[in-house]
Amino acid sequence: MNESVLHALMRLFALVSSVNEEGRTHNERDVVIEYLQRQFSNELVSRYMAIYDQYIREYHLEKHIFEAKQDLVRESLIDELCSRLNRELEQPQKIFALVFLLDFMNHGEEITQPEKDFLYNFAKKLHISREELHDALVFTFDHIDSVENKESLLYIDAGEPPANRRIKHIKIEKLHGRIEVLHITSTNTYVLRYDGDQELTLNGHIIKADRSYIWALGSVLKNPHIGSIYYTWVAGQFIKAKTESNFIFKAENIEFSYGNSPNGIKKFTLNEESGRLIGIIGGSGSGKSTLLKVLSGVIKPDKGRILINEFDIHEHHEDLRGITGFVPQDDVLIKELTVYENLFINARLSYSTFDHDQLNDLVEKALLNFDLVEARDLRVGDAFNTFLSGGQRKRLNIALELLREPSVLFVDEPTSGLSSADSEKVMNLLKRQTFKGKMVFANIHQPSSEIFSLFDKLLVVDQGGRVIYYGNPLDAISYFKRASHYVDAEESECLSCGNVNIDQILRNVEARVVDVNGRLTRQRKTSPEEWYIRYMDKIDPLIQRIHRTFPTSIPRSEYKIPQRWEQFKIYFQRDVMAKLKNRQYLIITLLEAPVLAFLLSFYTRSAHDATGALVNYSFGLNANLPAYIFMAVIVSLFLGLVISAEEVFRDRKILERERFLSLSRGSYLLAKISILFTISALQMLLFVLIGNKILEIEGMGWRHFLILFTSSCWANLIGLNISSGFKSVVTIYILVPLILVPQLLFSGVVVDFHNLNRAIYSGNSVPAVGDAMTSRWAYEAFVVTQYKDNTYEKNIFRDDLEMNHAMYKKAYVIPKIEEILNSYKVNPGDSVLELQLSDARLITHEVQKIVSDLDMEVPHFGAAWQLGQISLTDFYNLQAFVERAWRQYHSIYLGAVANRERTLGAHYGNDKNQMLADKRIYTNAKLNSLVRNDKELVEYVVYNDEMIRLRNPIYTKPTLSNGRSHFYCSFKNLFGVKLDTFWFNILVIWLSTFMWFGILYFDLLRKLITYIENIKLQRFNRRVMKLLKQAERRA
Amino acid sequence: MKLIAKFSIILLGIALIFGACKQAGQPASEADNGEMIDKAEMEAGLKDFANPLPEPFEVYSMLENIGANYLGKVLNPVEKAETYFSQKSKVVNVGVYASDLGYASTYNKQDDVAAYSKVLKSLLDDLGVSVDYSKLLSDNMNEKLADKDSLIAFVSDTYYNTYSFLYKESSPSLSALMAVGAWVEGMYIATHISEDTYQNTEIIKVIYNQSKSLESLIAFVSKFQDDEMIASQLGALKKLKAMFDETDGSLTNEQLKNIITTIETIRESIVS
Repeated sequence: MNESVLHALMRLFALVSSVNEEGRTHNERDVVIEYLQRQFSNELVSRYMAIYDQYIREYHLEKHIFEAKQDLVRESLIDELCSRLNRELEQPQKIFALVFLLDFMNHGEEITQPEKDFLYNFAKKLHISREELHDALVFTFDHIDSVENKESLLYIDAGEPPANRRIKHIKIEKLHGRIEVLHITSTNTYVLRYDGDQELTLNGHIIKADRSYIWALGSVLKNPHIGSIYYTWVAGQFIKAKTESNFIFKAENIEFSYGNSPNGIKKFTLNEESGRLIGIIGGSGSGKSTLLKVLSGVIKPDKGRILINEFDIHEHHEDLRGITGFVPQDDVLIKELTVYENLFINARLSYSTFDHDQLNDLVEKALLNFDLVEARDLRVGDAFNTFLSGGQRKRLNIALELLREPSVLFVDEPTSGLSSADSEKVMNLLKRQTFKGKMVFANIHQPSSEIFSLFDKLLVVDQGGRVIYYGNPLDAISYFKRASHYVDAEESECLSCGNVNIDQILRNVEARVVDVNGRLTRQRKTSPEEWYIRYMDKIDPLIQRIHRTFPTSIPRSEYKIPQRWEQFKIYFQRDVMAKLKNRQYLIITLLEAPVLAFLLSFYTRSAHDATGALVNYSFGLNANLPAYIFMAVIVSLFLGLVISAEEVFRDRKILERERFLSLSRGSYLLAKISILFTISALQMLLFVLIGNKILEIEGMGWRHFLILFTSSCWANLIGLNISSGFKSVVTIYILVPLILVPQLLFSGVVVDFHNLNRAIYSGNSVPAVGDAMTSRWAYEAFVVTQYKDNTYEKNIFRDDLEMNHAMYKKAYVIPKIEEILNSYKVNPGDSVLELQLSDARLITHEVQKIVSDLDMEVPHFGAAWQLGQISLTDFYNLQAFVERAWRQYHSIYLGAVANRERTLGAHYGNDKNQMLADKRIYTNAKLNSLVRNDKELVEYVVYNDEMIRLRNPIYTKPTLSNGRSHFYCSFKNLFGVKLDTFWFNILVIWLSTFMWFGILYFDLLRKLITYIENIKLQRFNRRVMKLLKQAERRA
Repeated sequence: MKLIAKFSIILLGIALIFGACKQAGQPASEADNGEMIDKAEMEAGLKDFANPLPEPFEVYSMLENIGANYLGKVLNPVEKAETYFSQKSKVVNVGVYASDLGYASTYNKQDDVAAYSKVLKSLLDDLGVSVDYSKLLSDNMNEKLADKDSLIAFVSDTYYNTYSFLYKESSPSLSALMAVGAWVEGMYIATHISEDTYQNTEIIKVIYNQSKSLESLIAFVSKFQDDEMIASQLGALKKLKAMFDETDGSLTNEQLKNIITTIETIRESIVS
C-alpha cells in the first residue's frame, strides 16, 4: 500500500468520523491506531496518526462553517478519494479498505441510516456490488443471520454443523465460542469474526472479539489449546463446491525397482481427492523423484496400478491423455526462444483446434497468472546465460505444463535454487491451482515453515523408496517424535511463534546411533526398513480402508494434440526459430563448409607435368585430385555428424515430456531430419561451389553435390542416433572419432583393399568391412563418375570399357585356360583326362564368366568334373569353345576400337588441339592413373582358383551379381540388372540412412545400451572376483 | 505419414534404379566389320621367317661403334604422347618411342631409359597391351639390369613381345606400323645426331648402310599393303628407297640432303 493510498484512507477515516458526534472519536481513533500498527512501524504509525488528527481537526473546524453545504462538500471529497482509490487499488484491496471501514464504524451500536447511505454510496463508487456490501455490513454489525448468501458463510466451532446445510462448517475440538467467516466471492476475500473467550492469535496478533479481520492467504489462527486453523482449510471449504470435475486419485499397492539396484519404490498405497496439495519430503537419494515419476505415469510400476476415477492411467493412456502433467526439475525450455514464444509453441502443441487469436489469449492469460508479463519478450537462455531470474524460469516451466490445465500436476523440486520469496511465490501459485480443483504433488527439499503450512497432505520418503509417513503435515512431526520417544511429542509447533520445525522430521528419521565415546556413528537408530514396517503397521491399514465415492467419468479437458502432420510443422517451425535466433550457431554452421572447401582446394591446387615439374595450373595436371576427393568425402561425413550429434540429446528433457504427452516422436524426428538435411544441403552446395571453382572442375557440380549431400545426410542420421542413445555429451563426442576412423581406414583409400589383412581380403569384391563404410561408397561413386562421366570421356567410355574388357579376356584369360589345357598330354588310349582340382576349378570359374559375358552355351563337363575328370570329347569341345570365345572377344574388341575412333572423329574432327584442351579441362591424369591402377605391373593374380584382375579396375566388369564388386568398378550387377556405380552407390547410402532412421525411430540404440547395462554385471563381477582370488591362492 | 514416407522412398529407389539402368544402356555391339580373324592364320604369319621383323636397334650399335655422341634432344619428346588420339598414331609412335628407348639403352642413359619406358608403358596401357616393363621401371637397384648388354637385350625382347602382342591381339597391319615407326625414328636419329653430319664420313657410311634394312622393312610391310594405313607409309618408304637406289656407293651432299629431308618429312607426319 503506497503513501498516497494510506493518506487517502486517513482522510476517509477522518471524514467518516466527522459524520458522527464528537464523543466517539476516541474509540475510532483506537481502531485506526490498531489498524496501522498491524502493518507499519511505530514511526509510521505516529506519522499517519498525525495526518489523521490533522484531518479530524480540519473537518471538525470546518463543520460549522460549511454546515449548510456539508453534504456537498463531503460528497465531493468522497468522490475525489474514491477515484484515487479506484486508480491505485486492485479490487481485493478495495474490499480490504471497505472491511476496515466497516470495522472502523462499528462501535458496538447500531448503524445509523446516514451511515448506511454513506456506505452504499461509497461502495457504489468503488464498484463493489450491493449484495456483497450488504453481507459485509450485516456480518460486521453482528446480524449474521441477515446474510443473504448462506453459501458464503463458514462457522468454526466445537459443535455440530449448523441446521442450514448451505452454511459450511469446520469442527475444532476445544474451541470455545464460534469463529464466523464470510466469503467475499468476487475477490476471494475471507472476513472473520470471533465470538468467544479464548485468546486467538492471527499471525501472532491477538484478535479481539467482535471485530472484523481479514483472513489473508497463509494466515494462521492459533491457540495453544485448539492448535492451528489454516487459511487453506477455510478456502478449501468454499472452493470445493465450485469444482466442476471432482476426481479421485489412487495408487494401489504400487511397487517398482530399477533393474538390479535396491532403489525404487516399496509397496505403497495412496488415495486422494482433487483439490489437494500434497508435499513429498525425504533425504537425498531416498527416491522422491522416482515416486513422483511412478505416480505421474512417466515410469510404469512393476506391480500395482495408478487409477484416476478407477481408470488405470497406463491401460487407458489414450483416454487420459492430458490429465496428468509433469514438471521435471530441469528446464524443458527452448533456450533460444522468448518466454512468449515458448508458451505459444506449447499452446499450439496442446490445443490443435484453437486459432491464432485463441492461442494468443491463452498465452497472455498464462503470462498474467504466473507473473511473467515483464519477462514476456526476454530470451530464456540457459542456466549460465539467462535473462530470467530463477523464480521466473521455474514459473515458466510450471506455466508450460499448466497451459493444458492438467487435473493432476506433478512438480519435481519446484523451489530448488530459489530465494525464499520466489519459493513462496511458486508454492502459492501451485496452491491456487488446488483451489481450482486440481491435485498437485510436489517434491520439496527443506521447505520453510510457510510453505509447509500450505500442504494438505505430507508424504515422507526414506532410503530405498520407502514411504514412511502419509497424512496430515503437522501430525507428521508428532508421529516421528512419538516414535523416537520424545517427551513433548504432542507439540508440533513453537508455542509463541507458531513456526513448524520441519527439520525435526528428517532429523528424527535419520537419527544416528551414538557410540561409547559419545560420537555419532554411521548407523541409524531406526533403519528405513523399521520405519517402513511401522508405517505399514500403523498408517497403511487406514489408507486401505478409505472409501470414496467417485464419478465414473474422466475429467474433461480441451486438450487435444494436433495431427502428426501438424505436429511436424510445429516442430519444424520451433526448431528453425530456435536455430535462426542463435547467431553463433548460424555463422559457424554456414561458414564451416565454405571455409573447409577453400582450405582444401586452395592447398591442393597445383599442377605438375609428366616429368614432375611444376607448371601453370590446369585441372588435368592436378596430382592432388584423388586426395581432395577423399578429403571432401570425409569432410561431408564429419560435418554431417557434428551438426547432428547433439541435437536429440539437447532436447531430451523436452522429449521425455512430449513422450509423456503422447506427442509423436516420429513427427519430431522427421522435423529434425528435414532441418538437418536442409543444412547439409546448404553446406555441401557451398562446398562444391567453392571447391570446384578453385580447382576448376568443370561440369561435375551436381554429381559432386549429390554424393556429398548423400553422405552428409547419412552422417546426420548417425549423429541423431548417438545423440539419442547416450546419456552424456562427452560420451557422444568421444564416439565421433570411433565412427570416423573406421570410415577412413576401410574406405579403400588409405589402405588398399588388396593390401588388407589376409583374414579380410576377399579377392573379387570389396571386403564386407569395406562395404559397410559409407566413405567407400561415396568415394568410389565420386571417383568413378569423375572419370567416366566428364564431358571428354563420357562419349567414349563405353567403347573403352568393351575394348579393355575384351582385350583382358582374350589376351590373358583365354591364353591361361589354353595354357592349362595344353599342359595335359593326351596319351593314346585315354578316354578320360584327369586334371588337378585347382586347375579344374579355375577353368570352371573362368568359363562361367565367359559364358555369361558372351551369352554362349555352357560347354559340357560331365558329373566327374567335380573330381577333375573330363572325357576326351568334352576336352576337345572345351578347347574349341575357348577358341570360339576368343574370336568373339576379338571382334568385340575391333568393333569397340572402330566405334571409339568414329565417336572421337564425330566430336572433334581432326582438331587435335581441341581434343587436348578438353582432356586437360575435363580429365585428370592422377585420377585416371588411380582408376586404371597403372602402377600395377601384374595383370592378374590367381586367388581361390579364380583369376582376379588387378589392372584397370574401372574397365573390369563385376563378377558377382549381388551388387557387390571390386573397388572402382564402373557399374554394378544386381541380379542381372546393370546399375551405374554412381546411382547404385548413392542408393546404397540412402538405404543405410533409411535403416538408421528406423533404428532411431524405435530408439533401438538406447534400448541396446540399457540392456547391456542391465545384464547381471553383479554376478559377472563376483565371478571375476572369485577367479582372481583363486589365482591369488595358487600363486 | 510414415506410410507415405516409406512409400515415397521406395518409389525413389525404384526411380533411381531405372534411371541408372537407362544410363548403363546397351552393351557394346559386336564388331561392325564382321571379320572373324582366324587365329591359326595369324600364328602362322608370326612364324614367317621368310620376311622377319627387321632388327630395330642395329643402327644404334653402328653409331656407337663409330663413336658418335649421345644427343638426347633429338628424341621424340615424351610430352607428345598425350597428343596421340587415334589408334594408328598411338601404335606408330609406340615404334618411335621404342626406338628412342633402344637408343637410350645403347648408350646406357638410365634417365632417358626410365622416361621412355614410362611413356611407352602409358601408350601401351592406352592400347590395352600389357607387357612387363617392370625391370625397366623399377627403382630397385637389384632389379635393374646390371650391364648395358642385358639392358639392350631386354629392351629388344620387350620390343618383340610388344610386336607379337599387337600382331595377335590387335591387328597385324597395326603391328607392322610399329615396325615402320621404329625404323623411321632410327633413321631420323642417325641423320640428326651430328651437327656436321655432312662432314662426318663415318656417319654418312652408317646412313648409307641403312638402305639394306629399309629394303627388308619394305619387304616386310608389303605383306599388309592392302591396308590403307600401311599403303600411305609404304609409298613414302618406297620413295626413299628409290633415292637410295639412285646413289652408287657414295652419297653426294645433294643426295644426302634429299634423303634427310624425306626422312624428316616422314617422321614429322608420324610424330606430330
